[in-house]
Amino acid sequence: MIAQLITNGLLAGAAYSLIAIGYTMIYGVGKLINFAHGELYMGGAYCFYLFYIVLGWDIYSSCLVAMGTGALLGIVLEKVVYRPFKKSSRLVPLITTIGASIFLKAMAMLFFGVQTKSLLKGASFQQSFSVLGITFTPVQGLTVVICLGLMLILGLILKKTKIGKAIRATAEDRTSASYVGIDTDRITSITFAIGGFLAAIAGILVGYDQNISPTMGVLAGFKGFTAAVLGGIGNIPGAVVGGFCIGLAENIGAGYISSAYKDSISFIILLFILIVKPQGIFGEK
Amino acid sequence: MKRVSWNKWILSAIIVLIACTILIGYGCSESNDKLVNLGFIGPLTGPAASYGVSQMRGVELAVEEINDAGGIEGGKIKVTFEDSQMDPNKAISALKKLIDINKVLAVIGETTTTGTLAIANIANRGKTVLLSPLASGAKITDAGDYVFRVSPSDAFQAIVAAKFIFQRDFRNGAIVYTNDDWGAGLQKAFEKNFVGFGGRILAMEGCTPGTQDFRTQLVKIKNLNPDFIYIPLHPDESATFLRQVKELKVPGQILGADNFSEKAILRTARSAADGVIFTMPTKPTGEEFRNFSKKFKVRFNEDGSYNSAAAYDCVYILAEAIKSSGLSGENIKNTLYNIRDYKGASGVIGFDKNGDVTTKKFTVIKIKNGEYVPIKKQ
Repeated sequence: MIAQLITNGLLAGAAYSLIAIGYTMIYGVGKLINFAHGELYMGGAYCFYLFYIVLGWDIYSSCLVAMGTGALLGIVLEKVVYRPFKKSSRLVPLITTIGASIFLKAMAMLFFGVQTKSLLKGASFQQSFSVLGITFTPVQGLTVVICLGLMLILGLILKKTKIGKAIRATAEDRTSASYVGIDTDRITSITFAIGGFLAAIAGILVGYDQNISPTMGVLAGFKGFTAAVLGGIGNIPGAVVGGFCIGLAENIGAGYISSAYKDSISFIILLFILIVKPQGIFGEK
Repeated sequence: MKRVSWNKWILSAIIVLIACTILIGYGCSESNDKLVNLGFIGPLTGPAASYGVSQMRGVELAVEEINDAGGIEGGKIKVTFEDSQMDPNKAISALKKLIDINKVLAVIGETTTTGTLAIANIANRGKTVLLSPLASGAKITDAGDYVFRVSPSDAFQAIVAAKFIFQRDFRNGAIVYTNDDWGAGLQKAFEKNFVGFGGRILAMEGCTPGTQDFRTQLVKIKNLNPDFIYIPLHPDESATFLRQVKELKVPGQILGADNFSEKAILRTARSAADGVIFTMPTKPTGEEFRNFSKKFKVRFNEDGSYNSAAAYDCVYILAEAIKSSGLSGENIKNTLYNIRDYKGASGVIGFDKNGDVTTKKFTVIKIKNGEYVPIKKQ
C-alpha cells in the first residue's frame, strides 16, 4: 500500500509544483501573492473543455489553445489588477487579485454552470496501467514527465537566456534592474504569462484526470501557495520540492492517519512553517 | 416656480397615499381579530432558489384553497414569506422577525438541514412550531420538541440501505462519506444498522465537501477488499468517485443514497455509474398527489413536484392542528404529535415522538445503461 500511496503523492505533487512555480515567480518579480493564481489553473481547464468537448477540436490543438489562453489570462491579470496599483501599498494588489479570483470563478459558473464536468470524450474513465502492483492512469504518468520536463526547460531559460537573466535581475532588485535598462514592466508581464501557462497545463492535466468544476482552483491554489511557502517563496527549485513534499505528506498522512484530515495536513504544514521557519526550506533571510 | 409646485403636489400625493395605506392596514388588522398568522422561511433567491420557490407556490396554493373555503373557523390564514438565501444567519433573523414582529403561530421551513438546525433552538424557546418540508439530515431528530418535518430522516434511509445490502448476502463493507451534517449523518446511521444486523464495516473514510481526488481513500479500501462501498457523497463528488473506482480497478458493489436522485451524476459519470444501487424516497403516485398536481398546474402552469406537494401538506397539517387546538403554539405542538396517518399529496404523514415522519417509504433503485430501474419498493 505504501508504494501506491507514494505514487499518488508524487502524482499530486507534480501538479502542486507547477502551480507553486507560478506563485513563486510572480512573488519574486512583483512582490505580490497572486490570489487569482488558482483561477488561471481553472481557466486553463475550462478553456480546454470549451475547445475539446464543446467545439470538438482534437486534443493537441485544444491543449495548445488552452495553454496559450492561460498565458494570455496571466498577462491580462497583470495589466488589469497589478500594474495600475503597483505604486500603491502592497495590500492593494493583494485585494485586487482576490477580486479577480471571485470574478473569474463567477464567470466560469455563469458560462459553464456549477456542475462537475468530465474532460473525457467517449469513454467514461481511463484505462489504467499496473506496474509492480502500483496502478496509475496514463495522464498521471504524463503529468510527472511534463512537470519535470518543464522545470528543466524553465531552469535553462532562466540561466541561459537574456529574458531569463532579466527576470532574475528584476526579482533580485527591481530598481537597479531598471537602471541597467531592463523594462521591468514587460518582465513582470512575461512572468505572469509564464505563471499562467504553467497553471493552465496543471489545470488541463488534473482536470483530465479528475473532472473539472468552477471551484477546482481554490484548493489547488492554496496547496500551490503552501508548496511555494514551504520551499521558500521566490525560490523556484524550492517550489518544486515544496510541491512534492505537500503531495507526499497529504497522501501518506491520509493513508495512515485519516483521510478526513487530508486537506488539513497541508494547512497544518503551512502553519508550522510560518511559525518555525518562515523563510521556507530554501529561502534566504 | 411651476416645476416646484408640481413636485409639491406629487410629494403631498405620496404622503396621503402612504397615510391611507397605513390607516387601511391598521383598520384591516383591527377589524379582523381571527387572522391566523403563519410564517415561511426558505431560499427564495440564491443557489437553492428553485427549492424555495416551488415550496412557496405549494404554500400559496394551500392557503388560497383553505381561505376560499372559509378559512379556519372563520379566520383567514395569512402567511409571511421570508427569504433565507440558504444562509443560516439569514434564517435566524427571519425566524426572530416572524416570532417577535409578525407574531406567527407556526413556521413552515427551513428547506435545508443546516438551516433548520440553525433555527431549531429559537423555535423551541419561542414555543413556535417549525415544520420543514424537505430537510432530511439525521441530526434534526434531536433538534427539540417544536421541530417537525414531513420528509423522512436520512437515518431511515440508511436503515433501508443497510437491510437491503445485508439481505443480498453482502457482509463486509466500507464507507466513503462527505464530512458534513448530511454525509456524516448517513455514515453513522448506516454503520450502526449494518453492524447491528451482523455485518462488518472495514473502513470509514471521510472527505471534505468538494473533494475530487479519492485515490488515497480507494487505495486503503482496495487493500481491505470489501464486498461493497457505501457512498453518501454529494453529486459532484460521486461522479468523480465512480470514475476513480474504475481507474483504480477497485472491486465491489457501489451503494449510494438519495444523492443519486440528481441525474447530473449520470451525465458526468456515464458508464462508470452503471450497476450502482441506491435508495431514494418513493415518488408519490397516489390520488392525493394527482389531484394536487392538477390544481398546481392550473394555478402556476407548471407540474407539481414532491417538494411543492410537501410544502402544500405542511399548510394543511398546521391548519388541522390549529382547528383542533386553537391559537397556542404549545397546543399546536401537542396536536401534531398525535397525527398518525394524514393522507397528504406527498404521501402519508405521521409523526413519531421526535417529530420525524415515519410513514413515508423508500425505493431501492439500480442504474442500468443510464436508466433508473426500481428493484425493491418498501
